[in-house]
Amino acid sequence: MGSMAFAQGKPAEGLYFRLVTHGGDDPFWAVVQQGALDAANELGCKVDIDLAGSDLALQQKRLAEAVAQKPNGIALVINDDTAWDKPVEDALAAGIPVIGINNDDSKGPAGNKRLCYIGKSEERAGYMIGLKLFQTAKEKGIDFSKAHVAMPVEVPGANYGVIRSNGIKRAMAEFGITSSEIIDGGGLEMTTVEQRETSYLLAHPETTFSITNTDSPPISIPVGISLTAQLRSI
Amino acid sequence: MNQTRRFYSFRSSSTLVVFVTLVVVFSIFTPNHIFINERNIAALGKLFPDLGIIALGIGVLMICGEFDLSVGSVLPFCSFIFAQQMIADFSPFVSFFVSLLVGAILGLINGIITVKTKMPSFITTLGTLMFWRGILYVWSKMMPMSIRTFVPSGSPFQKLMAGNLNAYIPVQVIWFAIFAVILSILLHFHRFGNWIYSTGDNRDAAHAMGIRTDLVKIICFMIVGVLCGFSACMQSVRLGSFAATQGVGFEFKAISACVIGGTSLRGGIGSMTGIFLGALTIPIIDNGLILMRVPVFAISAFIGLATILFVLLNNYIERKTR
Repeated sequence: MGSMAFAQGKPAEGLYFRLVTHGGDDPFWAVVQQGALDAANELGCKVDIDLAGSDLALQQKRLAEAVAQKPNGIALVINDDTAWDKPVEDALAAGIPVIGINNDDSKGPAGNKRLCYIGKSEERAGYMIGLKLFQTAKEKGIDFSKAHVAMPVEVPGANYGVIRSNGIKRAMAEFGITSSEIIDGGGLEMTTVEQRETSYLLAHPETTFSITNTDSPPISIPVGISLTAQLRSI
Repeated sequence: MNQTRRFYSFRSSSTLVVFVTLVVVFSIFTPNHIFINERNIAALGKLFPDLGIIALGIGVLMICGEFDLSVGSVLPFCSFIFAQQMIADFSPFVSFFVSLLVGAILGLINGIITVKTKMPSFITTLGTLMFWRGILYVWSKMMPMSIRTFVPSGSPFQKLMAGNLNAYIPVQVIWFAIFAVILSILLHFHRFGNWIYSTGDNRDAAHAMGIRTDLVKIICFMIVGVLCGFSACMQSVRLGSFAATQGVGFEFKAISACVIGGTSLRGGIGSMTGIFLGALTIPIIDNGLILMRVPVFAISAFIGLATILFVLLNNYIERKTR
């Protein structure tokens, strides 16, 4: 009885939310889903998460299905600068609040009518990673005149990867680094990723920095450790 | 002339010629001949057997006239079981055998559904590919699991599955060779191999000869399952982790390797030498092209093209030597 009274007192009791993402097999979204469920449990509301396996058309369908269910709010990954303009406007016109999470339109509120955005700025994230890495390298005395930056991406052409790479390039410019290449990291299957990156590093011994553009630390960390161990051992 | 004709009468001969050509071309044309650099060979040797071992089993199954698309899900499923067992305090060796057993059971399920319902294995295993991945996602919640504390670097099990024989020969290559030899003996020097070829070539005729074709197919599915279990443990130990994305895309890469090795999609034709070379060829193309500084985004296009060209070449040689 006491616990019921407590449950009734939760601030979002009776509300229902949807989280529409572009994610799929990616362990990153397993962590996000767990966080969403924990938050819903804490606040007393319900939440469902939609995954689309990086299929933009499917993600749009998932948003349309979510809107049809008339939830109290939708959190949407805005991973394309144009594809989400009209669907978001339509959802808002139907009286459903839509916020952006994880990825945003590159023009921010000027590019998409979402009510707000919760997450990092992709360009700034790339810039800050580059800045920190190059600063540390400078302190260690690494010569930047012939430096080459490799940027493996998990999903070639994905908006967030391109924008983040632009941030890295901005940091490169500040340190006078001119050589870089965005490469197909081979997706999310770990052996393929490791094979691709090992071959690339052997073929490009001039590579001074490798900045993997991924949202999946659960994949990139074991691969990174294995890759580093391998390169050290060989 | 007769010797040339005799050489090309072996189905895997074209694969051998192309394989040797690729090795020579990459050895000559990669900058500083880095393709034959021991560092590159060691890196290749450590990584390609994950897929290569599964491709050996898929090849045997294809000769038997069936496909298994579920390997892309059976591998991470076995990896998950392996990690779960160790978290539950079982030793890595016990967990390893449980993982092999689970692989065998999943192969048995594929085999039973296929032979009892007469459903094409392409459909059966497409279904189980999605089914087991779905079960895995629900069960594991797609959360990665570290197993490094259970199999630390330098431990006996780590050395057995992901160590080095010497500075440049990883044990994964030895395992790949061992499985290739075992399956080669089974396929070419054992009565069971004859049953596999007969079943794949003409099931009705094989059945009329008294061969229990259903049992032969089920055993071949189980061989693939066990090899998936083995590869799962090997990969997990190397990475020190389970991830739900392990094995994604392995099903088509394994079939490509077998096709490149001269295995017929219609069953009854193929050899372990060809499958062995096919399993080596795909990673070599991938590796060699990157080393030649071909834009990495184009690699998939080259592998796709190579698969088509190999099939055309095999068909051409077959017609010429007939």
